Amino acid sequence: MLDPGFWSFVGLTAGIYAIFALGLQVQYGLAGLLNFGHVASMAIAAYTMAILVVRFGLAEWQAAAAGIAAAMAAGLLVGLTSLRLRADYFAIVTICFSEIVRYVLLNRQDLTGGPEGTIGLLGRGQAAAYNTDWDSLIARVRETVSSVTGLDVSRDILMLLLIWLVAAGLLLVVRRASVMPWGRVLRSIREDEEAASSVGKNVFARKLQALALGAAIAGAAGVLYALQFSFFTPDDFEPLVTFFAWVVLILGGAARVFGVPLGALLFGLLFAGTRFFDFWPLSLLDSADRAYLRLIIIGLLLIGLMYYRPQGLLGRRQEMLLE
Amino acid sequence: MNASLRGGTGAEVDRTRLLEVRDIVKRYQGVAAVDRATLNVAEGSITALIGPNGAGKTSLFNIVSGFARADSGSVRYRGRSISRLPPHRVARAGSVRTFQQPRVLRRLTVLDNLLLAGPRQPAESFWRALAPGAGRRDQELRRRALELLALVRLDDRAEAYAGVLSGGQRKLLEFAKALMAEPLLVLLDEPLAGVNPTLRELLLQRLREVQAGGGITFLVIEHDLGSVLRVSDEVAVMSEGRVIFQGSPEATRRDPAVIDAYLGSAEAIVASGTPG
Amino acid sequence: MSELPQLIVDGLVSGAVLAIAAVGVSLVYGILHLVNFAHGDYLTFGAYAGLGVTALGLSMVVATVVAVAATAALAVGLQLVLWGPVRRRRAGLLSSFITAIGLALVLRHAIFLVVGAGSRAYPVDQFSVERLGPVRVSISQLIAISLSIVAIAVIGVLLARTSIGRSMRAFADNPELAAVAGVDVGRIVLATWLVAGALAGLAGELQGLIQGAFDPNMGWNLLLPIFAAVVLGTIGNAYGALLGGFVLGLVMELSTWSVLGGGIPASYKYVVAFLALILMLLVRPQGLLGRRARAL
Ligand SMILES: Nc1ncnc2c1ncn2[C@@H]1O[C@H](COP(=O)(O)OP(=O)(O)OP(=O)(O)O)[C@@H](O)[C@H]1O
Ligand SMILES: [Mg+2]
Repeated sequence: MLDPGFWSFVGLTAGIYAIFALGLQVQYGLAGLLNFGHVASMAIAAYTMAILVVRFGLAEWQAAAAGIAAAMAAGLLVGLTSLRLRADYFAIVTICFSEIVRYVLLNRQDLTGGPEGTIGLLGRGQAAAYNTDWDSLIARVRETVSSVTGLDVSRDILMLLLIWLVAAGLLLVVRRASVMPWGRVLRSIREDEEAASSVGKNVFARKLQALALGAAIAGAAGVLYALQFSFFTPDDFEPLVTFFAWVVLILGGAARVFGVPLGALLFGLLFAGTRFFDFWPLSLLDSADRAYLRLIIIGLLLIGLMYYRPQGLLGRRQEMLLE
Repeated sequence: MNASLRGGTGAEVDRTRLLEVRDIVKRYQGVAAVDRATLNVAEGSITALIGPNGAGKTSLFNIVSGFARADSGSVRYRGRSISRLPPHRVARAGSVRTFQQPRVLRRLTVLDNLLLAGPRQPAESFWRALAPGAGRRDQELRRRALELLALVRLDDRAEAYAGVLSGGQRKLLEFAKALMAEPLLVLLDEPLAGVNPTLRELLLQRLREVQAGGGITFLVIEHDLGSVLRVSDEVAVMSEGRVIFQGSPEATRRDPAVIDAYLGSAEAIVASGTPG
Repeated sequence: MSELPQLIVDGLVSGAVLAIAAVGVSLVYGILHLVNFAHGDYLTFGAYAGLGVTALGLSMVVATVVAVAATAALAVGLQLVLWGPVRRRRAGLLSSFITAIGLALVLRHAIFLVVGAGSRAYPVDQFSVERLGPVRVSISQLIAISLSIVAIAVIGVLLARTSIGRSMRAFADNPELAAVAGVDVGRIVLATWLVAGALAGLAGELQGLIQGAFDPNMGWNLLLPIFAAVVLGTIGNAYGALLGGFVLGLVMELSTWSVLGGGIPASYKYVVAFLALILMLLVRPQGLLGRRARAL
C-alpha cells in the first residue's frame, strides 16, 4: 500500500475524475440537469484528438483543442434537441446518446480502429500512436528538470502535476462563477424554472450553456485521459464511467464545488485501492475474481452512502430536506 | 427589442393603456378557461381583478405573462403586442408577475431570492462573472433588497433558506421579489391570501405608496373585497372566463351583473363597503 | 424473398422478450416511482437460475419454473431488505438512481464471481430449425414464442381481471386516490415486485435462449433497450410497455432489411433502437399511448 506506484495511480485516477465530475457538477450541481451520458463528451474529445493526429496529421495541441470543441458541439446538439424534455426523459436520452456514440466507435472500424482501440487507427497490422508529440515533450521536460535540479521525475509525476493543475484551475474558475450571479441564476433554474423565468431569466439558453460548458470540461478530461494512457478503446467509455462521475459528485455533496476534488480522491482510493486487495485471504482469489469483488464493494458502498448520507460527505442535510 | 419595450415611449402610445387585453380565449381540453376576455390597465393605476373561483383570473395572468399561449386574442403592453413573447422576455420588458402558489426558490436564501430578481446584472454572464469587480453590482442590489425585506418584515430572515419560510412569508417574499425587478407593471395573484390582518393593512398601504411614489402600475387578483375595493382605482370583474364589468370601485358595488355573478347578497356588498 | 417475413418473426421474438421485461420495469416505475437500473441484472439472475437447473439434468420446463420463481423471490427479497428501508428514508430521485446503480454493480459482479466470465448456453439444439412456410424458426425461438404468448396472456388477465391487478393499475394512475379508496399499499408493492421479478426471470431465460450463448453482462446490456420500450409505451403504463417492446423489437430487426438502402448492419441494432426512442421522445413526448400532459 505504500508503493509510490499505488499513490500515483490513485492521484491520476482522482485527478481525471475530478475534472470529469466537475463538468457534471456544472450541469447537475448548478443547473439541475440529469445527464446520464456524460461519458460521451470524454469519448468524443479523446477520439477526435486521436483521429485528427493519426489520420489527418494535425499537431497534438490543435487536435486536443478540436477534441474539446467537438465535445462541446455534441453537448449543444443534445441540448438543442432534448433539453425541453422532462428530467427523467432527458436522462434516458443522454444515456442513449452515449451508447450510440460507443456503438458507432465500435463499428466504424475504418474511422476509429473499432474494438481494438486507437492502436488500430491505421488499420490492421500497423500500430498507430497519437501520442508522439506529447511523449517527446514530456521527455524534454524530464531532461530539463534533471539537468537543472539533478532530480529524476517520472512521467507519472509530471502527468500528476499537470492533471491536478488543470483540475485546480478549472475548479477555481467554476467556483468563482458559481458564487457570482451566474451561479445564482443556474441554481434558481435548478430549483424552479418557472420562477426563474418570471424574473427574466432565459432558462433554455442558460441550461444549454451549462450543458455545453460541462461537456467541454469533460472533453478536457477525455484529452488528459488520452494523453496519460496513450491508448484506449470504445469500451473505456461505457455507461459505468458516467455513473462513476455521479459517485464522485455525490461523495462530495452535489451542491459543493469543492466537494468534487474530495469526492474524486475518495473515489480514486476506492477504485484503485480495491485493485490492490491482494492480501490474505483475498489473495486466494484470482485477479479476475478480485476485480469482481472490487466492483461489488463499490456497489455496496454506494448503497450504504445513499442510505446513510444521501447529501454526500460535505453536503448539508438541511438542503436535502428542502427538496 | 427589450430596450425599446421598456424605454421608448412613442407619442402613439396611449398613456391610459399600459396593458390592453383583447378577446383572449384559452381552452383546456375543450373547456374555455378564458372566454373572450377584454381588459385595460391604465398606467399608474391599481386595478383589481376579482371574480369567483375558477373564473379564469390566473389563466389570464398566465397568458399576459407569457407562461401560456392564448388560442386567440391579443395582449398589448406599452402599445406593442407581447402575445408571442416567452415569459422571460415579458419580465425583462418590465411586466412582472407573482404566483398564486408562491414559487420561492427553496434552497436559495431569502436574500438571494431577491438578488436574483434584480435587473441589469452583468455578472450573470459566465465570462463577466470571472472578471474582477464582478461582485460590485450585488453590493448595490443588496441595499435595495434589504429595504424591500424590511418592507415585508422579513429582514431578520434574510440569510435563512427560503424553503423554511411559512406560507404567508412566502407570499410576502414573492411580493418583494416582484418589486425588486424594478417593474413598470406588477401582476399580483392573491397577494393577501394567507397573510395576517395587520400585515395585510401594511401591505396595502405600501402598495399605495409604491404606486404613488415609483410610478408602478398594479394589476391585483384578490378575493378580499373589502381591501381591494378600498385601495384600487379600477375594478375588473371576471366570471366564467369573461370580464363582465370594468369600472370604478363604486360602480362595481352597484352593478347588477356583478352583484348577480359574484357579490351575491346585498349584505356582502354592504360589508365590503365598510372598511373594518 | 422470405427476408421480410423472417425479419418480422425475428423482430416479434426479440420484441416479446423486451415487452415482458418492460412490463415489469413499467409497473415498478408506475407504482414505486423507481427507475430500476438493476432490472437487467434481475434478468441475468433468472437466466443463470434456469441454467443451474438444466445443469442438474432437468428439463427446460423445470428450468423455466425455477427461473421465474427464483427471480420473483429475489425481487421480493430486495424489496424487503433494500427498497423498503430506502423508501422509508424518503430518498430523492437521484439517490434512488444511485442506489439502483449500486445494486446493479453488486448483482452483476456477484454473478460473475459465482459463474465466471465465460459464455454459457442452454442444452437446446441451436441448429435445428423448423420451416413454417417461408420462415425458419429455431427451437429456441419456438420455445420463446410459446412462453411469451402464455406470459402475455397471464399478464393481461392479471392486470385486467384480478383485484390485485386492478388495484395495481389504479395505484399507478393515482396513488392518493387509491390509498384513500382503501388499497393496501404494502401488499401492492410486494405484488408488484413479485410480478416484475417473475417476468424478469422469464425474460432473462428467454433472452438466453434466443441469444444462444450468454454471459453475466447479458441483462445489463439489455437494460437500455428495455428502458426504451418502457418510455416508448409511456412511462408507467403496463400495456404501453408491452406494445413498446414489440415495436422496438420489430424496428431493430426491420432496420436490417436489405430493401432499405441495403439495410443497416446488424451491429447497429441498438443504435437504431436508441435513435427510435430519441425521435419518439422529441416528436411524441407523451409516449405511444399517452395523452398530452397538463401544462403548468
Ligand atoms: N393548465 C390547465 N389545464 C386544465 N385546466 C386548467 C388549467 N389551468 C386552469 N384550468 C381550468 O381553468 C379554469 C380557470 O382556472 P383559473 O385558475 O384561471 O381560475 P381563477 O379565477 O384563478 O380561480 P381562483 O380564484 O380559485 O384562483 C378552472 O376551471 C381550471 O380548472
Ligand atoms: Mg387563481
